[in-house]
Amino acid sequence: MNEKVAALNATAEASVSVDQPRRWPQAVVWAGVAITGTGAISYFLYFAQFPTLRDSPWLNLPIVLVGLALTMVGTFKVYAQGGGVVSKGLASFGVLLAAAITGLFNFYIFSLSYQLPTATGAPAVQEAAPEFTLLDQTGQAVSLSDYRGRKVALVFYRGYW
Amino acid sequence: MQSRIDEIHAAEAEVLAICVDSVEENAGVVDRLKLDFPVLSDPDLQACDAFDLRHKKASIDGRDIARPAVFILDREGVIQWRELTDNWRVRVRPEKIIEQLLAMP
Repeated sequence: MNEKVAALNATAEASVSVDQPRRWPQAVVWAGVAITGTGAISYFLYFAQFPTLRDSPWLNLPIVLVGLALTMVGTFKVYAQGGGVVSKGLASFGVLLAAAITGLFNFYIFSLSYQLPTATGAPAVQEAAPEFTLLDQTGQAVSLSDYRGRKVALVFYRGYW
Repeated sequence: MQSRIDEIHAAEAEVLAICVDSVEENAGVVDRLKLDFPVLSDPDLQACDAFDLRHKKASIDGRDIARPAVFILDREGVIQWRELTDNWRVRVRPEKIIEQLLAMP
């Protein structure tokens, strides 16, 4: 009986001492996922309003990539420590999630936002600008011809400010 | 743009912004960003089509919107400069616009 108790105690001690180091790689993986997600979302919600950070996302893209790297480092450690199936699966899922976010972010930055129609029919320099009448923010009708005599910077926005 | 609006007005020019959002939505933006220039509502893309700037199904909810562009007109309404960016995230800088406006009589 004493031997069994001793054996159980030894196993319990062993599993407790092995559990502590096993936790941090998984935490690193999910910290990485959080960082990647934050890097991507903060671009759209906050940093995109600053032209220097918006045109070329030199702040957000590195954050996204750092997050992804962390998930890989953490997962590598999880596997290296011989974690169970659940740990490995969880960590691998973290890498996939971060990779998916990174992929979508890059797709948006480097591909999707370049997909614009060619606008071959847009009026050229030295042509008269087409006349139009639209409502301004107070509901008042405004015509382009109202501005004869003044120079005009006509700025077309995508909308959804 | 708003940060440089005084310089633009001093150059005897006006900024006219156009987008497909409604008058109400534009009013909200003007209020929020304290804009000192007209923001025109083009929900039927009348002006966008006249300038060939319709971008089909490009909004989040699948509506047609404008592709970004800037046209600078002289006092007779003739286009003197235009810029159509090749990426919708990149906007023409106000400095460029002011440069063009100052270079015109």
